[in-house]
Amino acid sequence: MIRLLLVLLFALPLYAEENISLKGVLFERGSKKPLADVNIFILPAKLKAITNKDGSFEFSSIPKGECELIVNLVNYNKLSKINICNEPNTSLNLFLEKKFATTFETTVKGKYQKRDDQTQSLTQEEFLTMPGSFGGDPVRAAQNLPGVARNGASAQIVIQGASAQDTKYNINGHQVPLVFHFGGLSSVIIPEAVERVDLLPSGYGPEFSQAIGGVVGLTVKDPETERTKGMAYVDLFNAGGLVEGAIDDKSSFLVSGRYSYIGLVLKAVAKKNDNFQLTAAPTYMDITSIYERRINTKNKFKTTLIASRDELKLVLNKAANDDPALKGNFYNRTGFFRMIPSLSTELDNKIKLENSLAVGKDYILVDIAGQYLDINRTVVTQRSEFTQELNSQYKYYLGLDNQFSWTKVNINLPNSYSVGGVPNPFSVGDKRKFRIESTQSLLGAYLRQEIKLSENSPWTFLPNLRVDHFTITNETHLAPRFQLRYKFDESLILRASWGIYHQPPLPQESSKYYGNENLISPRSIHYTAGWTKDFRAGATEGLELTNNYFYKSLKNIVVPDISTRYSNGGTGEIYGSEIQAKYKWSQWSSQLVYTYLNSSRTIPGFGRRPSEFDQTHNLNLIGSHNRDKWTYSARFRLVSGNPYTPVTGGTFDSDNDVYIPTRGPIYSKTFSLFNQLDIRIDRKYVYDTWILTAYLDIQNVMNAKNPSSLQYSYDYTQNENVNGLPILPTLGIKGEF
Amino acid sequence: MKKTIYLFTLFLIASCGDDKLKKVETLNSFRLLAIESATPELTQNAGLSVTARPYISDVNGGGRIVNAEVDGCIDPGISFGAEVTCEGNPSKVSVAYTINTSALPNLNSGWGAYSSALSIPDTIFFGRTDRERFNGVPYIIIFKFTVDGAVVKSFRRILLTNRTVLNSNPTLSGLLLNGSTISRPNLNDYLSASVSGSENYNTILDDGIIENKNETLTMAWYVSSGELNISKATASESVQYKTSPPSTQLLIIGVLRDERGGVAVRESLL
Repeated sequence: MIRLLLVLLFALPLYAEENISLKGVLFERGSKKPLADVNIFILPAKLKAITNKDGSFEFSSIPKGECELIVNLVNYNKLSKINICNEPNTSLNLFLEKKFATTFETTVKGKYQKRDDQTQSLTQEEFLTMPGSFGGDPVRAAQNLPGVARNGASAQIVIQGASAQDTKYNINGHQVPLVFHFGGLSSVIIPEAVERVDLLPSGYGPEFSQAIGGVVGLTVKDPETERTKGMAYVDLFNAGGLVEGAIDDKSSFLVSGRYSYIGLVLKAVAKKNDNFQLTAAPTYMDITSIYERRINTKNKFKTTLIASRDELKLVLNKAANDDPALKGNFYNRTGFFRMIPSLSTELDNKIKLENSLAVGKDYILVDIAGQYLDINRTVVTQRSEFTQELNSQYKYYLGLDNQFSWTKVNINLPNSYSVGGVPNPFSVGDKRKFRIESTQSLLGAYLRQEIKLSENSPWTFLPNLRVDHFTITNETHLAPRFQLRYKFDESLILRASWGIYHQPPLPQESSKYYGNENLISPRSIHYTAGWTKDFRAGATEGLELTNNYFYKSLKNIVVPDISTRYSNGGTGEIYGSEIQAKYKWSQWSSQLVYTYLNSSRTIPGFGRRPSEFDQTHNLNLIGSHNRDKWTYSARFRLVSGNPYTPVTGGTFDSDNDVYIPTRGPIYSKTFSLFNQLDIRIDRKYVYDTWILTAYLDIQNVMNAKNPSSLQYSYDYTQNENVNGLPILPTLGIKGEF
Repeated sequence: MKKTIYLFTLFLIASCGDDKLKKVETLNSFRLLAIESATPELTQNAGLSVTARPYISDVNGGGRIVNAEVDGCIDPGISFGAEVTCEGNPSKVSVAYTINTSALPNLNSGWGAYSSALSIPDTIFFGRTDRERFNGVPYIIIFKFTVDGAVVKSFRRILLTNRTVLNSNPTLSGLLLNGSTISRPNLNDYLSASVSGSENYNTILDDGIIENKNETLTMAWYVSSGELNISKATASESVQYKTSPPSTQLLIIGVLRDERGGVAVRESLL
């Protein structure tokens, strides 16, 4: 009996230890992203569970009583929960907070492999926090890249000393007429819908044409497939939002839009101005929507809709530039849309086929007191590319790049004449009024090859070829482009390229009534050489250095001609060097970008002279620092002043009551050195299911007076500087879920 | 912020003049305000000649003799960007020209004498399209005054056409203040003009269509002292005198144009 009592006495605690079960889901705090493959510990029982793909976990048997749940994951703050082991069936939602959350979380699907070594890319994470990018705009951020000229408030990107019209813009590989809204404030796609912006400067591959300067490409992202997420923001100039998510297990969507109300503010402050009245506030808006469906394991369908519209209406009470023709009602409407369906087929891991089409419209209407330019264009562009990797030494790409357009032009405008950036007054030009309809085709085919002499050869040869036919000039061009890559080791790549590039003359230049229909296409030959050294040795911290040298020879440049309005008499030469040093350490990252450039043009009658964007020195210093939920970033730019043409006087045109400028030597003077400091501060407030970010982006903090042009008195005997943007703060908030 | 946005607006929208630069409406130095010809257009015939006279303002000149050279030639293509000159032009003819304001001290303005007749070459229609011949081929007359060592250069066009109905100068009957006969303006008073002579005319468009248009008459206003809210207005538009009137004499000049070379001038010394 005593023995039985002793057994019961010692066994009692064992029977008293009751077990419970605990299950839950682990999310990333703020973004609600399920976290998979994460270890979850229960102490002191020393139990471990691993989260599944959907973030779920389960402990089936935990001793009831005091316990501590611990999650400790790299790059996340440690999570600890106590007193959770008392109830028999406990269910928990756990939120693990990232140490350094980016502004807008995008799921990165594989590392982007750029084709051309010369291509410079910025990912969403990079451009969203770039200072001076006006709220994370991708194209504004791309202006920090090597070789991109400072271009003031212009809505165009100027690459390596070329002219503004020598850059072409595309979205998902399809050319679009413009990339910026009104005044270059922001690009035509909401930044959060953009995965990547690519800058293709000199020596780019055969995939693109019609751009002797370079190409800027935006690639929209693939919509989120695992959960529904979105964001909305509001700042001083515009507001926008984005929603994306899965429709079913094969389909996903993204819808975004943006509307600028800057005009409402401008209209209010401009109300009492004698010089002009804003009768309709300048506005811009854009819409981006994406639908993606994985048809099966080999085929993926994606369609993207991009629409952009800018509108401005005002009354010029006072004749602008004292030109009587520039007085009265002014109306401008510019826009485009593109529907871009695409089908990606991956027959096996060696053969791929990409087909895409873009259907859309471009429209421009400018009406200045009854004198107007009205262009309405229907555009269809088509791209196809077949890729096959025959073996580890040979891979080729066969592609088509075609554009068809049907254009209606209605013009009642004087022809314009401008040399050296100094235009003649609007009213002096020969009055032109006509209506035309035209059909044009720009047909292109290309072959890209990547050849290695042996499987382990450090050399890669890329003998590429492109053929273009432009109906606008009735020309067929053969454009060989050759690239060479030498992989010294994993950290050092040397490269060189050579290629011929053509671009058709602008429509107004080759117009029968407005220009010269006998023009041929300007041509450029690019030579580049460079190297990239990655000192990070596989780590994420450290130094990465890139150095490029380029030379471009330009022929058949279209220049104004008194007898034929335009001619192909211009030539040009551009050479320079770029260096980009990126350094990342802990929560610090910095970048130095420097470009040395010499860009000149030779125009009959004016001789050899600097080009409009001959910015000899262009230095960008960019730095950022993350500290808890704060991100501080800054950009400082120091750039040679742009050349300008002095005006030495004017001749009074009695019939039109204006003075015609007398130009001095073309681009013989330069503005003073440009300097500007921009800063940006982001503060994140992370809640369990959403994140609020407040940001302050201040451009030109020092309020530097950077002259960007000259304004003249009516008779050109006096002038004064017109300075660039003054200090310009943008304050905004963004919420994301 | 409001100022920042306002500056930004100006930067983005248009350059609409600046207070630091001299105003187009303010008369101060030797200035040519218009060149008149009795025949803004001529029917092309052999042996034509043409004359023109400038309207001069020299409010601070103190009375002086100003010499000039008048050149005439077929338009080298000014509307397409050619320099305003007859140098090297085979059709060039030149005459000497003088303006003597000695008898009229400061605040003077007025028409110079007509220049001697300039011969228009018979070749002016050579190589011209039917459209150009109908709409008019410009012959230019350039006045080059040398004032205080600097050249003040101005020009006008005479259109040679095969149209039968030719343009004539518009009529500027008078200048008005607040709708009545002009007198010395006070702050914010309105200036306007009594005008007539807007004509209908035909022009051939680039695509061959004949368009009938009506001339738009415009006024350019000038004052010897003070400022106007706008200096270039339509003929029916009033402009506002935006400063307090000076204690001295005030000269107001209105120049009427018909957009085809026709011009008329009125002045009031108040």
